[in-house]
Order: sequence, then structure tokens, then C-alpha cells
Amino acid sequence: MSEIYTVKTRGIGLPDYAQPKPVGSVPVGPIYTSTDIAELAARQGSPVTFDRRGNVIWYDDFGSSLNKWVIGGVGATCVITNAYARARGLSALLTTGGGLGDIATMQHAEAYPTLSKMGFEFSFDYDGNVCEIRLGTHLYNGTTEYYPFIRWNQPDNDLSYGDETGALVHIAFEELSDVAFNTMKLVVDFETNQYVRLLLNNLTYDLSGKGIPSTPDAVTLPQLLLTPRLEALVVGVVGVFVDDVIITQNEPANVGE
Amino acid sequence: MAVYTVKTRGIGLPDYAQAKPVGSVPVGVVHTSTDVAELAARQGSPVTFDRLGNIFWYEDFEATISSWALSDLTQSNEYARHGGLSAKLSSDFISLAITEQPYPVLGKLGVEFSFLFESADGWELNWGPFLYSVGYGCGGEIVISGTNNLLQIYNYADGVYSNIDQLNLAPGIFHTIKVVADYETHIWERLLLDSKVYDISKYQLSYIVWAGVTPVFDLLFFLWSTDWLMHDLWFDDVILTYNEPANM
Repeated sequence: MSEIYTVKTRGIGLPDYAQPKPVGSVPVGPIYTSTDIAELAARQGSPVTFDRRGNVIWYDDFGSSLNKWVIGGVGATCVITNAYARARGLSALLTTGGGLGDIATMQHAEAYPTLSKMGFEFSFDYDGNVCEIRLGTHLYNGTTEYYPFIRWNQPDNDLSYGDETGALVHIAFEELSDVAFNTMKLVVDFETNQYVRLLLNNLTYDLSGKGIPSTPDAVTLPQLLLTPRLEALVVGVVGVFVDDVIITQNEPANVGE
Repeated sequence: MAVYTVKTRGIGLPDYAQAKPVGSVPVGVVHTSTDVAELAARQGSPVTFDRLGNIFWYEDFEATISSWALSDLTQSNEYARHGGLSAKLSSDFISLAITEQPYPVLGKLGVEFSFLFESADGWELNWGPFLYSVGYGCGGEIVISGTNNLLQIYNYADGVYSNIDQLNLAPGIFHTIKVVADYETHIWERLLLDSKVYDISKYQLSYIVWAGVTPVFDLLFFLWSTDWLMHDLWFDDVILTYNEPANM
């Protein structure tokens, strides 16, 4: 048996729980302290636990309603379900119509704030059927549509991004669980119109310097869309559980990755 | 009207961007923060947009609309910015929503709310804050015109509605607007609408000598139908603040 060591003075004040000694002079017993509000939020039930960078401007944990989403695709459905959830009991189940190649999308629209490096995070648990999952955003600024996106293809585990022309560019091969929620976060710089980084579970990919796809659009009024998308690559209804969709602004540049 | 860009709106303390925590001991791949405004945002607070000022009242319409006495508002689950509910104001001529709240101290006070419309034509929203203090009333009026796609402000000094900007707002999504005014100098301060910030400090609030009034802060919305057809406007996340800073 290993020897148990006693931390006599652990647990006071600044700067964080990783300190072996308290900053103050009065020990409070075997309790570790923290001043990190991102950790406080996580401990009190916030869905923001994964990456924690950026300022959150909107999130949905599907605890209330689907009235912030527009569902698209022939025969596609989306319901709030208690079958699976990343946390807190509920998620959204997005399903395709049943045909080979059927697509189901769920789209949230925002009036965008001051443009900056913006983050788009969502967690998903696919049902094991052969499918393709995309996380896409669309920024309309009155003259141009920018539509960066990430695609994960289940048959070959190919993870790709859309380049300046919208063509797929391979990033990596990543196998993802169909029994757990996977978390993906894409950071895009809408001041330079370039990708910044992609996080997928425990992996981080530097996408800096890579341009995002765009097309002229002077018709669509200024807005920001976030669109998880599911495509069935088999005949039959294919589903994905979606949870904890988060939009952030003021994301930092890639440092210390 | 010149638009000045605030590049860093929404940032409190910048420490979330640090590769290391504030202290000297790295905590791994988790990024830390000491910004309590960000803490609130992550815990579901409706205060996500501008984050300046101290909140003295907010309404997300998730419970009741009992704070809006004498109003034509109804609760609605058709749209919500956060949560599941918002408030709906419908009008084929004029409809009214008003809330009265006690205010803490005079100074620069802010009013923020989010609104959604399905069609931009045929309506106009006249809204504004009005503060009653000992011996006077002081307030102003801002116009969001779907009919004319205009954002206007009433300047008490010359009695004229001035155009702030031509609007280009998408239907079907919540837009967020915030106005700050100084109730000690009776001057407007700034106006924010989605990604834009307008310096409106050259415009005056109205000021009326008014004996015997009870000190209270009123927020009023008048929805006009300009074509006599029924129009709906959804409201969510109404936020009142004090101790707002001056324009930076």
C-alpha cells in the first residue's frame, strides 16, 4: 500500500486548486479551492465544460423547446427526447426521412454581434447507422455568404473541412463512438474569413490560414446560421442525438496548442 | 450617422485567452476565467449581449407577465431567445406594453431587449424609457420602423426625429437593442443594435417639470400598425441596468 501523505495547509484562496500551499495563512482543511469561474459554471450545471474559451453568446441544451430551430430535409424530423442526453436529461433527436441519401438539418439563426473569432460547438451521438455528419455555419453580411463547415464521414471515418471553393479537404481519420456523445468545436475568424481550429473530443487541429468558402449573396439579410446536418448513407431512417449547442465570440488565437 | 466599432464588446477580463491560468500552475487543457459576466452567461443568464452596467431588473418571460400591468402582451411559446417563452404584442392599430420599476440611483441607465418580427412591413415600434424623479419627469423615444426600415431617435432640443440608421433586419430572428441615457445630464449616451454601436450623445432627453410624481422608471412600448392589418412583435430578455459607463 502506498504511503498516504497529508497536506496540512491545503485549500485557501488564490490562485487555484493546484497550489500545494494556500496563499493565505489559515488552513481550512483538506479542501481545494479555485477562483476559476469557468469551473464554477461547469460545476453548477452549465453545458460549457469542453473547451471553455470565448464568450458565450447563445447556447441550447434542449431543456425547454425547439422553437429556436428550423428543421429541413424531406421527411426529416426533430424531437426533444429523454432517450439520451449529454447531461441534464434531454437532447434533440434529428432523423432522416428513410431514403438513401436523405438529409436532415436543424438550423438556428442569430443576429450576429461584433464580428470576431467565433466558436461553434455541438455534441452528437449517432445511432450507429452509416451516415455523414456535418457542422456548418453561414454568415450573411448583406453582400456575401460565408459557409465554413466540417464533415465527418462514418464509413471511412474521414474528417474534412470545406476549402475556399467548398471542396472537401481531408484533415484526419477519426473513429467516433456511437454510444457516447462526441463534442466538436469549430473556431472561425470572421474578420479574416479563415478557419482557426477544430476540436474533436481529445484532439485539436490547427486550421489557421485556411480560407473559408464563400459566395456572393446580396439578397439574404445579415444573419448568422448554425446548422448541424445528417445524411443517411443507407436505406432507412438514420438518427443523431444533438446536445449542448454553443456559440461563442472573442475566441483567442491558437496559442499553446 | 457615424457608426463606431467597438472591437472588444462583450469582453470582461481577458484571462480566458491565456494559455496558462492566472496563477502560476498550469491546469492542463482547460482554459480558466475570472469574468463573472461570462459565468452568468454560461449559467443561463439572458445578459449575454453587451454586459456593461449593473442589472437592477430583467424579464425573460419564462414565468409570468405580471410585471407588465396594463399591457397588451401575451406569453408565447412560438419563439424564444433563451428558454422556451417570450412575450407577444399584436396590433392592428396600436397596442401597448409597459412596466414600472423602482430605480436605484440616478446616473447612466440602460435598457436592453430583444425583438423578433415575421414581416418587416406595416408596423412601427415606438419605445422608450421614462424616469420620474422628485419634481420632474425625464425620458425619450426611439423608433424602429419596419415600414420605412429606419431607426430614429427623438431629440427634445429641437423636437425632431433624427435618423440614426437605415435598417436591414432579417425577419424570424431575435435582434437585440440597447440604449443608454444619462438621467443626471438628460442626454442620450449610446445605442447598440446587433453588431452596431451608435454614439447618440448629441441628443437630449425630454425634461418636464412635474410636481408630485412618484419616483419610478417606466419602460414603454407602442406597436403601431401602419397599414391597419394585424402585426405581431415578439419580445424577450428585457434588461434594465444602472452604473453604465460613459462612451469609451
